[in-house]
Amino acid sequence: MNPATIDTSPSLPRVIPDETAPFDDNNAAIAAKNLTRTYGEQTAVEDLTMTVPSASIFGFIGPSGAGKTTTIRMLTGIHRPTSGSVTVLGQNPAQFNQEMRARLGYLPQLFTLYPELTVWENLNFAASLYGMPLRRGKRMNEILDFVELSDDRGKLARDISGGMQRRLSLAATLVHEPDLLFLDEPTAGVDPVLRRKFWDHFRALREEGKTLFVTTQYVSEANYCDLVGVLHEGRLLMVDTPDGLRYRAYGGDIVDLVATERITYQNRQALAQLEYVRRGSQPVNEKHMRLIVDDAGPAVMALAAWCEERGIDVETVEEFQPPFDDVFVELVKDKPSEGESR
Amino acid sequence: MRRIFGNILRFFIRVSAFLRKEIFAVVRQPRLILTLVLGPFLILLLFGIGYRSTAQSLRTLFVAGEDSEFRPFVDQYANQMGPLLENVGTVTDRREALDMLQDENVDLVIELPTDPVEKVRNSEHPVFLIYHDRIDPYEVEYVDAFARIFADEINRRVLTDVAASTQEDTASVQESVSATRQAAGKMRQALEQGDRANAMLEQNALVQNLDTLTLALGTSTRLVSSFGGNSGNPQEGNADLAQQLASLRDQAAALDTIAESEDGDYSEEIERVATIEEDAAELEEALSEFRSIEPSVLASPFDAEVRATSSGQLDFADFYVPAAIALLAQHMALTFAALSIVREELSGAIELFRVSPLAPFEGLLGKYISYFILTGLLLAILTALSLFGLQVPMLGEWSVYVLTVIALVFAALGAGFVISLLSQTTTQAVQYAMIVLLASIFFGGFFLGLDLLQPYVRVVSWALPATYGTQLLQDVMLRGAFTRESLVLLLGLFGWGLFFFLLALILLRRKMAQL
Repeated sequence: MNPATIDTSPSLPRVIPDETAPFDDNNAAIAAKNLTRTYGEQTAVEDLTMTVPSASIFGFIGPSGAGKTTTIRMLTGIHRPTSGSVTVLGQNPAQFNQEMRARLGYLPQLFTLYPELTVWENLNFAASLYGMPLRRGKRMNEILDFVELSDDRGKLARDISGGMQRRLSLAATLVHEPDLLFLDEPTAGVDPVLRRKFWDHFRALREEGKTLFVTTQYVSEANYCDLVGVLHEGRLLMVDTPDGLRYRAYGGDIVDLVATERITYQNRQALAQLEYVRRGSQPVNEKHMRLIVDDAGPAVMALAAWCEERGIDVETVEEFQPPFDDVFVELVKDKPSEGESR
Repeated sequence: MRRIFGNILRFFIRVSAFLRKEIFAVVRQPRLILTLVLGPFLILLLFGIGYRSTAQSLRTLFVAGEDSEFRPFVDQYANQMGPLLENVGTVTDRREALDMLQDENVDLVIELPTDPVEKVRNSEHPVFLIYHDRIDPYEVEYVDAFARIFADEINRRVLTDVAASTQEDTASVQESVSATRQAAGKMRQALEQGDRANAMLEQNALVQNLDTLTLALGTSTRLVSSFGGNSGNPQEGNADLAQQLASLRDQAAALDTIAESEDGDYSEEIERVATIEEDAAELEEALSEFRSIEPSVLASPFDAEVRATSSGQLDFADFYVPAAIALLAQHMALTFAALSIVREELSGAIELFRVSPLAPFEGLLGKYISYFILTGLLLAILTALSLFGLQVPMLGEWSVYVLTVIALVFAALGAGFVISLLSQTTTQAVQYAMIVLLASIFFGGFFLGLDLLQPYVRVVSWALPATYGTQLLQDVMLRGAFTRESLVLLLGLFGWGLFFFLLALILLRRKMAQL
């Protein structure tokens, strides 16, 4: 997905929060402290501390095996933490009663519904599971429309594609309108157009006051989140806004300077020496410099003025937002691997 | 109040979720229904119409020497066995016969005894040697029984011949008795007329006849005496006849001297002769009756007749169908349940349930109800097919039948859920289900009566719901009875059902608890 097409203006103010306590716990839908889960000798999640504010989308990114699903299982009460504590909606998940559970929505990573049932019957089963009243047809139709399965309601789940099964699972998770959603890779196997639609809906849910905890392997989807936790080999490396993560990845904002002619060596050296330009700036080609700056807004203005002063004919000077895949690589590339750290 | 009502409503909604889900899921798998219901029924049907309830006819080859006394009677003996024996022929060489047995050209080889009469005279049993090559213990028992019947038939045949021969012999005895009676009559008439000389002549004739009678009767005394007793005790009958004869002889001897009476009064002698006349008449009548009896009845006077107090005549299919219904009911319910939870665990649905407000009790109850309905429908079809297709009788109350089936399905579902909760894979669950099925066939009273099992093995039998179901369904369908023992069995079945339900609930709680 082209990052330029993504709306990167989160509803939350742009901040660079502290890694361990990014938000006030009083506003938290989820608060985890020093969560660790081991399976025998293997540590799946280690010393995870984070807070997920209410009415936000919290993205949890990391490669396969990083510990995302284990974290979700601890947060939903499926698994007991080996150590540490967690509160979800103000309570320990292990002590949830039925009313509290009805406020959760959980989309597992795999298709867990029933192949022998139709799309409608599966959705009906999920609705019943959450004790939805019998007059729920309207809501079920709405949610089927949303996931674009209305025309397939009579098909058996085993006869629909993997992507459709994923959409059905999502519909089953959303049908009872939960306050807090745990979505384990909801867009896996979904085509890009529908994936975008999913995220639009997630943000609409957030606007309604719902909290979404979303894991994804599509690092680029972090752009849709208000906050992103980066998980690597069971450890939470950082929690930040998407912009904040970019800033952390590259040590500042990135500005692309493209001249109409070749930028001379002397000018390149002079650019690097500018007060607001940080180390790590690199030429893309002889006319194109990628500069890391403290703050892209003032830097664009200053660079334009500097070029004019030096007689450099500028084609464009603008902020560059690198793909989140690159951001993620930058964020984890210097982190020690599990073997090295223990 | 509204909150409580809401909670109750949500409880039923969650339970009903499984009701619909399980029924639809099974109904959409016609192959599953076919293999679980139609398949077993067809096997049952094939068994019902294909089982041979008549005794097996054994192809039998006789071995007899050329000079064997029995040889002329082989066909006769073979016919005595009726359809149990198919006479293949007679050979003289035992080796040849045994080779044919080994080649499975015949089922039995019977070697006739040599010098049978001589052996009987020496108080030995002439032995028919019967060879077979069966390995199935039941077939071996069948051959043993066949051998006993064969020997009995031969013995009966011999006795019948002896009886017939004796009856022929008694013809001359009867003539002697008749002559004795007539001589006594003439002697009595002479004495009544005071004709001493003629009476003396008739007395000689009477004594001669009595001697002849004693001689003729000597060889047949025992047989005739057997007939003579009223109580069936041969010794007693023998004593009666001996007394009768002794009495006749004593009375005749007492007439040796007829003193000449001056006044011609021979009343004392007349009375004695009249007694002899009466006794001879009685003996004559007894002999006549003896001769009129069929020799086979004399040889084998007693027979047995079996009368069941339970119900009318049942064939093998009738007997096995209730057990088969119990077995199928258990198997269907157990298999449905055994596959149910383990499949959901493997698909990840249990994980979904853990996060949802679903309580283990609600889930389990929903599954119980749905499988009750499913199994109930299938059993209704199976019962209808059995009653109208196989014409199996239903002599008892339908309410007892329904209660039994409910208890059986309840217990089997519980056992199935326990299996499902203990299994790691569906394959494992199916294997456990098959083990239960196998155990039920062997120990549940399907083929073997429980009395044939050692007491410690019966512990296994009574841990199987099918055992209770078999006994109860046989009682209600074939005996039309519901006894105190039936009530105990029914309560036992419900007890197992409750035990399995609680165990399944505990296991499901543990499975759905935090890991």
